[in-house]
Amino acid sequence: MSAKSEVAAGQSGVVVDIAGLHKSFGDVHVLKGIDLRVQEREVVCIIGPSGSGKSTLLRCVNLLEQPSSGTVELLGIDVTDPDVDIDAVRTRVGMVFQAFNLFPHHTVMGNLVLAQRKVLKRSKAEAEEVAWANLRQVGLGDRATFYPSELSGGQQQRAAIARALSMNPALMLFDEPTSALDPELVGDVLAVMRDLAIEGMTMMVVTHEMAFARDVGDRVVFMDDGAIVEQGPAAQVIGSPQTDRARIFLKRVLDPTHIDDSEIGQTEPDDPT
Amino acid sequence: MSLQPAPAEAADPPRLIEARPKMSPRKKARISQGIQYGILLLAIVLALIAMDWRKLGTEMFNLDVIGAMLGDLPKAFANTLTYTVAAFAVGLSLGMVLALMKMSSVGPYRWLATAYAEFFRGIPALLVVLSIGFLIPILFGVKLPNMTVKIGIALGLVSAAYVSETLRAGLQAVPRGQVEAARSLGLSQSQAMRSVVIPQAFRIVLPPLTNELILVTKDTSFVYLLGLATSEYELTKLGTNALNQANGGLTGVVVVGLVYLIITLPLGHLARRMEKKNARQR
Ligand SMILES: Nc1ncnc2c1ncn2[C@@H]1O[C@H](COP(=O)(O)OP(=O)(O)O)[C@@H](O)[C@H]1O
Ligand SMILES: [Mg+2]
Repeated sequence: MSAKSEVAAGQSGVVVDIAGLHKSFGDVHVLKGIDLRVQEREVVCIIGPSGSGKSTLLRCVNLLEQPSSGTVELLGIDVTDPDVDIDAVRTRVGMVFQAFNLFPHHTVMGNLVLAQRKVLKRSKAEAEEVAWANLRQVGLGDRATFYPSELSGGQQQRAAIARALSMNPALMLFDEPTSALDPELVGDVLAVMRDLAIEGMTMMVVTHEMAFARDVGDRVVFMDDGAIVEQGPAAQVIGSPQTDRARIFLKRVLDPTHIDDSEIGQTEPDDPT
Repeated sequence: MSLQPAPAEAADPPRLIEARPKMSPRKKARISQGIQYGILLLAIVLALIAMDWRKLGTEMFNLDVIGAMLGDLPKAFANTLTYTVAAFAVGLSLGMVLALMKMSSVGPYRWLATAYAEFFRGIPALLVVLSIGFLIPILFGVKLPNMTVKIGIALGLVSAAYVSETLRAGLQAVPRGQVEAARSLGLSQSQAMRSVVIPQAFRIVLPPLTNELILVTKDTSFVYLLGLATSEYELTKLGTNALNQANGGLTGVVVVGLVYLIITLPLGHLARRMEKKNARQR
């Protein structure tokens, strides 16, 4: 509805515009100058070794972390400006966590309705109608009355996606959405995300699922040590990476049983000491 | 039995340990259990033999004394409940304020709340009750209107120290991801607190708070320190008064002890049930 049209009217279709982003936790310099722009309907997959700052980058986009310097513009609004109503901006950005983070004291329906009612002030009937539509989309039309603890991990994650979608976001952030799942449950979640991408959702996806990144991602961004080392069309970055770091990383992910002894530890995060 | 001494190789030091006949752990456990049952049985038998059964009737379940107490029992029971509710209400409200202070980003609030909790957990409740009756009238120039207010404040002050710690722990036991999920859906900090954190913390703190309620119930017995009019007697005072009656023995305290159990046992049972239920839902 209005959500989509607003974005379409937004500045030249840029949904996220990150410029010169730095983030430090105390003395630890985690993000070292990130520039990244995400167009409307684009799916950007972010890959890279553990500890390279992928989660921190996503969390800076919806201000779960406060950037140390640089700017993050969402839909043309600079969210790092202290005068901006960050709660209002956050309703336009859905976030899906590795650990699902469903509210355990609510049913699936309760999870989907809560923020619609409290934040968007939708009527109960309207909120439930939206929730039903999203539950059916993620294949959970028969689980509305279940509590999260009664669902499998894959179902919980799909419920979490439906919860985020119920706010009609202009952008969806995924932080390793399938990393906590048993292997046989990964496919359902990825299928839901692929459908979202096909429908034109703008997405930033941190993932280790290279097949997903290659097939669904428009662009792949390889991060290492707090910086973007390489980026480009998904097939290019994954198929023929240009940098050594990306090559080693991809080899490890795609073919973990064939690592040379000389390469052991090469993509581990640096020892902080 | 199988407890034979080690055969002759015991003279060969390196093999000493191996050579000792081994008792299987399961067998050891069975023997140890048998011994424990034996001790228990012996203790019970000795107690039954040593006890003077006729005395037990007159000293602990004296019907005359029970009869005399019965009329005042409902009032005393009601007073105990009233004092408990007053004290717990104060403890809960003040404890909530202290818990929020403990989690405040303003240092002095945290220090104050911590110092408060340390202080009131570190001194006997009895001293607080004693002091309240005298201190507040002197310090603030007000006379506390009645016994319920006095004991409510005194025990409430003590209880708040424990309650604040319980509430703080409960609030912090809710995973960070819960707040982050709520915030990323656009809920404000206070909305996230009200809709997501507090409902979950509530379940966590209910069992320990119920246990605190049991403690407060028993502590209302300290009210006797403030000097009671007959209409203000609660269970303990009623029971100890009955001790003065001739030949009644301990009957008075036995009776009120049983009444306390009528209050506290169900509460304890409730707390344990909630704990089990919480454990299942995690
Ligand atoms: N809240 C925090 N406080 C301190 N250090 C943090 C915090 N969050 C992340 N870090 C550090 O930042 C680095 C990058 O973390 P993260 O963004 O989670 O990496 P990734 O998601 O790529 O594995 C890590 O070294 C991590 O220890
Ligand atoms: Mg991460």
